[in-house]
Amino acid sequence: MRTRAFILAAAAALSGCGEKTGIEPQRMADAIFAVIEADRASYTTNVVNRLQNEEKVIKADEHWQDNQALPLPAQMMRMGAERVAEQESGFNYALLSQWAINKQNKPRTDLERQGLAYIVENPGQNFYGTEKLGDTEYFTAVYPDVAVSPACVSCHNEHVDSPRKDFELGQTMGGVVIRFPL
Amino acid sequence: MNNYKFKFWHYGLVLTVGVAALITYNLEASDKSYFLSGEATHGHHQVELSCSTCHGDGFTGQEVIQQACTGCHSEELALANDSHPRKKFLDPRNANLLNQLDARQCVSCHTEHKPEITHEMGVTLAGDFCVHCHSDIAENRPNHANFEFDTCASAGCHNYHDNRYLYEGFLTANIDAPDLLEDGQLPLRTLVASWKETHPHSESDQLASPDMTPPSNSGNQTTDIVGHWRSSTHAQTDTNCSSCHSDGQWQFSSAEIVDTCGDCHSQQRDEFTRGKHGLRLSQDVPEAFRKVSGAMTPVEALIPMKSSAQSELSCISCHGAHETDTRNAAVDACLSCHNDEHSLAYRASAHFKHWQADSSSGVSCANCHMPREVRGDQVAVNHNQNHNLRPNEKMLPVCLSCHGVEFSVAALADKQLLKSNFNGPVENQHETFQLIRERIAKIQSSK
Repeated sequence: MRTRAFILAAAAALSGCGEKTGIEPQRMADAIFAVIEADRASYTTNVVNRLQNEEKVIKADEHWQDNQALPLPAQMMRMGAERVAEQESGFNYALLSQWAINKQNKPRTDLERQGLAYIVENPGQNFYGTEKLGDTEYFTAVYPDVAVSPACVSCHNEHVDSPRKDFELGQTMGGVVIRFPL
Repeated sequence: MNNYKFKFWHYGLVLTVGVAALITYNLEASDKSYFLSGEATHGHHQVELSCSTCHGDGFTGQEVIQQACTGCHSEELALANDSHPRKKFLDPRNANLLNQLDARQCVSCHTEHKPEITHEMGVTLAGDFCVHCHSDIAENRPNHANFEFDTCASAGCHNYHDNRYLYEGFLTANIDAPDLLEDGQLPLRTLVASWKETHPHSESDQLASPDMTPPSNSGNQTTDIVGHWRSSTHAQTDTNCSSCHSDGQWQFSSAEIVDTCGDCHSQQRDEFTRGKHGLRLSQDVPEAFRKVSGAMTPVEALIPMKSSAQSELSCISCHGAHETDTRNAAVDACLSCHNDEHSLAYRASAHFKHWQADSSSGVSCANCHMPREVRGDQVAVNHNQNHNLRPNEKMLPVCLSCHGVEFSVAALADKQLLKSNFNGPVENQHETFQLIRERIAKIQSSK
């Protein structure tokens, strides 16, 4: 009797091993965005805006290596995204906008277009969905990227290639797109 | 004894065994040339029979080939600030583009052993490959609307990998420079000066006596050798006979020469073995291949060489064993082998005439092809002569020491001027600069 009870208990415990447990993609994406957004806002405000616009110590420039300048906040974020992609960490992220200066960063998939339109029309809200890219199904989350410092606004409003020049502080300028393969 | 009657299949068996033995011998004990599926590109010609360098054990997949590419070329690509690095294409949003052109793999554009479809830069795609991803370029740059897609990377406007000197900001900042700079000059080398700085208490500034006696069979050569050494930079920098002939070794193979020189000149050795001159002696090439193939000889090259250039290439091919004469290495050594139109035209060029009169104002072969590079507070010669050769806009930093950027880009894009070794006026303006001027006007009007 005791042996039978032990076998049943072990079987019940082992049967649980096959079940997938873990964090829901949405919760995971939210957590990753919190880190990305915190780093991005800190770099933009405490490094670029302070050193370039307030203390005028050093400029931020697209060709930061040649011109011995700071990388632009968008470039800084893309560097991180590319490192994450190279490490095959199981997710990807990108900074996109309907009004991107670099046209490679305009929305490319239907869900990106839908998500970016949603976060602009619904300030403070995120957008979640699934999409198939190539042969893989992805969970895709789109978060608003808000102008956190005067440096964001002045650069985009003054750049010759910027398709929109009336941004204001606190407005959504684009979105951070995070993807997990399902 | 009965006469054995050979049947037809017996002949077949003997033939099969014979062919199999020949092929196995070629694979295991000879140069593997039977297994070459097609001539390699000029970039890999020197090591085309070192199969395992790229293919591993022969049964490995695409991943190993990609690793072989990056194993040798990643440093160069990083230095070039590669415009299309693999990491840019890892985002899933590029999936549709990758279906058309998988830019994550080098071989998507550079397939080896396909000479019939290989174009400049070892590219095996049709010349309009940019269209796969940039078909909408005219939306962002309306002035590009009438350009053909096979001119993006062939007209001196853009390169796929290296655009360090072709991007808009750089051209805009330098567009007003005159054709010939008033005080233009190449940077001065600092190798000997920096040695003297770090060895202030050296026993003497000029060694006079060799510390070894050459073997008796050297005969009259001994006097020449000692004389050459005595007037060399080595004698000025405490480098005596025993520094190189440390174990009493008097004769060296090409590989041993490169190793011996590399003991002190490691940077130069590493650069030399990355270029075509020394690629066969590279540490990236399997030891077994190095032993079988030896160093490259000029007559094995794919470009015209003098038939007399039959010796293996090593450091002393250009510098001499004891002379270390950099002036000889900069021109005469090159022209003792190279026999193409560009090389043969050099001595009629203005660059040479100035160099002959005063090496500080002229331009030698080495000045362009082995550029002097500023590395921190040092100026050193890059000994990889292929480093800035293709695409030739990589040579712009050398040209810009004495010329303006508009003049230089136009000269490098003029195929006839390249053949004549720039022996003539730069007549055509490069269209890029018309677009840059329009761009400058647009930026100014938007302020």
